[in-house]
Amino acid sequence: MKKLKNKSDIFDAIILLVLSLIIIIRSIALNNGRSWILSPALFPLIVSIFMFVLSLILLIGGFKTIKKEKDLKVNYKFIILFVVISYIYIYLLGKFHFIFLSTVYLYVLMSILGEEKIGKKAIISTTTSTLIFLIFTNFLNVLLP
Amino acid sequence: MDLSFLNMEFIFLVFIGSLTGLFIGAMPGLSVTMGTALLVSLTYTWDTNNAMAVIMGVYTVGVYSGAVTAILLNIPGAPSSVATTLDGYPLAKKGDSRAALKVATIYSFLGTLIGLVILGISARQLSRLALSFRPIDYFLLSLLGLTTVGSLTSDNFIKGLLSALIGVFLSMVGTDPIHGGSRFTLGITNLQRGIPIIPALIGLFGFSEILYQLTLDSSKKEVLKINKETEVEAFKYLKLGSISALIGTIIGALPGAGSPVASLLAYNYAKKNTKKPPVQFGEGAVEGIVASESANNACIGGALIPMLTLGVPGDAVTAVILSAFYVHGLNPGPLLFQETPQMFSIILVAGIIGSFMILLLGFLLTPILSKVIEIKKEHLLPVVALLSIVGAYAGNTSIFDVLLMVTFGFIGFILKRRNFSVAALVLGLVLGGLMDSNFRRTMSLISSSDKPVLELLLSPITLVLFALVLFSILRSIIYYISGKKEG
Repeated sequence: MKKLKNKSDIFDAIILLVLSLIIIIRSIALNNGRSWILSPALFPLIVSIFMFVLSLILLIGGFKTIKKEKDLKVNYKFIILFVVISYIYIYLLGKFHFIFLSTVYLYVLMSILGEEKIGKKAIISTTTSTLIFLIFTNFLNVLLP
Repeated sequence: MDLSFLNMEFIFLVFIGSLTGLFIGAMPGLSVTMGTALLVSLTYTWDTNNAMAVIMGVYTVGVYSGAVTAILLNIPGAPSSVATTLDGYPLAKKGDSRAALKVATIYSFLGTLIGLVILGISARQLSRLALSFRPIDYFLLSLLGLTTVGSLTSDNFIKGLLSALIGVFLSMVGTDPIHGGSRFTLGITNLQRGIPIIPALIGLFGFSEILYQLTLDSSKKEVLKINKETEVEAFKYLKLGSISALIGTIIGALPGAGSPVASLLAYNYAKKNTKKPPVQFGEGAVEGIVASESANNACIGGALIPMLTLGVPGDAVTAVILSAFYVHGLNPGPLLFQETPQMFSIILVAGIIGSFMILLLGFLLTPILSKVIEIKKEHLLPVVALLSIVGAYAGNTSIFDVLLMVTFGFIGFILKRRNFSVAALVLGLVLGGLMDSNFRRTMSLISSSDKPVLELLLSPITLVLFALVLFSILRSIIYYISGKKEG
């Protein structure tokens, strides 16, 4: 078994150290020289100090931890594609009719996930989009874009 | 108790409300609060008894049905169902969705019933107790909720605490509730109202789960089959269910504390007091579902206590019901018992009928609903993605909320991959606001007092809560140093 530092924890700790420092600085700026006792910046400051201390413990633990690092090979291609398509869909909401746009969205996602039968994809995406639209607008009074 | 209002029409109206509640609660993004608010506007011309029958049906069954999506899709319908996802979803993924839903149904029924019975027999005493809670007590109570983080993190306690603190920080984004200034909004106008809980919940649990499923090998993406042989001994957990219901009723009676705190404290209690569970907590422990569901449904009875006896709503739904009282010309509070004593019985009986509707609808629909896990991932994931988007949009009809949901989904996915706890982050997000405002009210009281320490620790409630928080923190530290897992 390989003995290594826990690089993942070290990386996370550095990110969180930076984040907590930013919050500490922003909290001090938010207080703007007023009395701290009733300040809206006091609680965020306390929270960020705790974050800083815990991140330090995580960092030290990362150096001390001796273990074989897990193989974290993940295919991020699908994830990025899925998120990007979702953002595009959200951007286009309101510019096209909900049923049409959602049908396309579902059809594309199903294709990416490996469904090959065109008929099946078309039926599921059209029915689902129409049903959701009708339920939300007619029964729940939610005006969909 | 005068039960002259009880007839078939009354029962039928509770049933209609229950059906509506089942549907609303099970739809990601639609809340019971939204459902009751919708009904108040629809029923304001109705007879008061009938309106209350429908509203109580929606309330009781709507709270229960949040567990359906929590178990089947890993999307908690409301913050109170977060603890249910922790074990409900892993159980469903093993093919035991039917068993998980059965347990949720039975213990939601039990929790509702116990909460309402306590409402019936000790409403006045409990409301007096709730009134004696001060800002410091609310702060300590939320801190106690936050100390349950050890129960939500199985791998890395420090990362669990950090997740909770990130959540607390996120809860402070937006307009400061005391002074009204902006905090940490980065100049984004939409963040002035804070980070909305429901889109964040849908993103962190539902959307991130979709992304996680995409990373699995195709061999692991096979269609799940329901284990029809699995029989869960649901009645084995009556003691745990009753204790959780008691926790739920008491916490529910505290205005503003609410069901998320109750379900997490009950979950924490279950984890610490279950010796050698057959399945580990977080991996599909039935005890986790029992505790969470009993407690969050018992909050119904609890939240009604201050509303009916003092006119102070215990949660968002009772605030809407309170408005329904005013619409119908009623005076909730001490005068209710003098002017319209029957109204107390109407609410109580409608709630009890509603709890039986949980059993009826739960058992009728569980076999059908549990089949969701048998749908092929290629079809289910896109549909859940669309439902998540529509759910995030529905609450405030805001595209910004949808963008926030997807962003939280991505963040949740990254956090899960790096062993942070999404549940702890949500816990921080839900409790952060309560902690912040009560911390500052306490500071304000201290600053104006001559003897601040005495002022703080004079009340027995404060002393008990302080001792509990201290005990919980020390216990977590000892477990962390000794390298053992909590629970």
